[in-house]
Amino acid sequence: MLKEVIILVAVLLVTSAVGVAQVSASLTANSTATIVTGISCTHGTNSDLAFGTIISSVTNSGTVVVEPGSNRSSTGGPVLSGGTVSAAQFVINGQGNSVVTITLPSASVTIRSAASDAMTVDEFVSDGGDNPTLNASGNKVVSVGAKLHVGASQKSGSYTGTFSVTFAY
Amino acid sequence: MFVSICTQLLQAQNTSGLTANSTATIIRGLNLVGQKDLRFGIIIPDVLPGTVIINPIRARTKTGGPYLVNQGSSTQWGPAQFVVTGEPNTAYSITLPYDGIIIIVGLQMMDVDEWTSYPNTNNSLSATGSQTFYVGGTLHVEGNQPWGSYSGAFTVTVHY
Repeated sequence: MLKEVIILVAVLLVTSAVGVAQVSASLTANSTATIVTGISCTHGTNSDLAFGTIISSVTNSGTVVVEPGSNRSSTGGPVLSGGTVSAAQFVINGQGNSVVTITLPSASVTIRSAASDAMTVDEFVSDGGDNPTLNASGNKVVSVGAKLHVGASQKSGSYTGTFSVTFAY
Repeated sequence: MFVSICTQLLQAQNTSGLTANSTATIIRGLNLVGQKDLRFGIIIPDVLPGTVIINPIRARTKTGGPYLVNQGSSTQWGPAQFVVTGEPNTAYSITLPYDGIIIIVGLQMMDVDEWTSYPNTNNSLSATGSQTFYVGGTLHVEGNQPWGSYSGAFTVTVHY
């Protein structure tokens, strides 16, 4: 007698939470780059930071301040006496509407006369703040002022020196 | 799985049977998700052409004329970042674009090519079935490249 043959058939249905199982998968991603105009600067109408003419006191030192708006004031001994007074002007050119960083001299700058007498200039300040914004055409004028330290009996002469201002994106 | 059982006749030996196995293995399908674009960042062109290279382990260098601008956010430039998921502890491989692509703004374009990826050898999904990989490339900047925000698309494929 033949025994009954029992055949079991099991069929597994494969389902995946994401649908059809994939042997490969592709993705399209983006690549980006931003090209901007290089930043440059030139001198404005008044290229120099000029403290004007000053009479020094025999006994008292003091300071002369030229503000970015070109107002001049003094403290202590020195007496203001006309002359050309102006803040230094810089014209920045770069990418429209971009924010730039201004770096003013952090240490004092020395200005000297022909006879090598010296005075120091420090506390540089601009009217643009630390991060001015260029206009839509990519321009901005920034004015820089500072403080001059005048000694007692500071020797007469025309004192000059240089300072650097950096603008960066 | 298909199981067959044949009963063995005890008396007559004109048939005999054996139990055998039939097997199949089901694995999870691969899935690919993008987390970051391939970003070359902010660049100032020079009159001389050059390249900007993004290394997939996150470095940006340049050759030739262009200048790199680093500003504030550290996410401004960097490699593309992808997460591939699938069957745990399984090897897979990455296919990068065969050719370069162009990224454009208006009518201006730049080429991106020389694709690189990291990791790029013996890629394998982790015990939890995933891996993060990065894609870098080389951007070709022409002399006096016009300014603008350029973008374009590229396709990456992963397979078992």
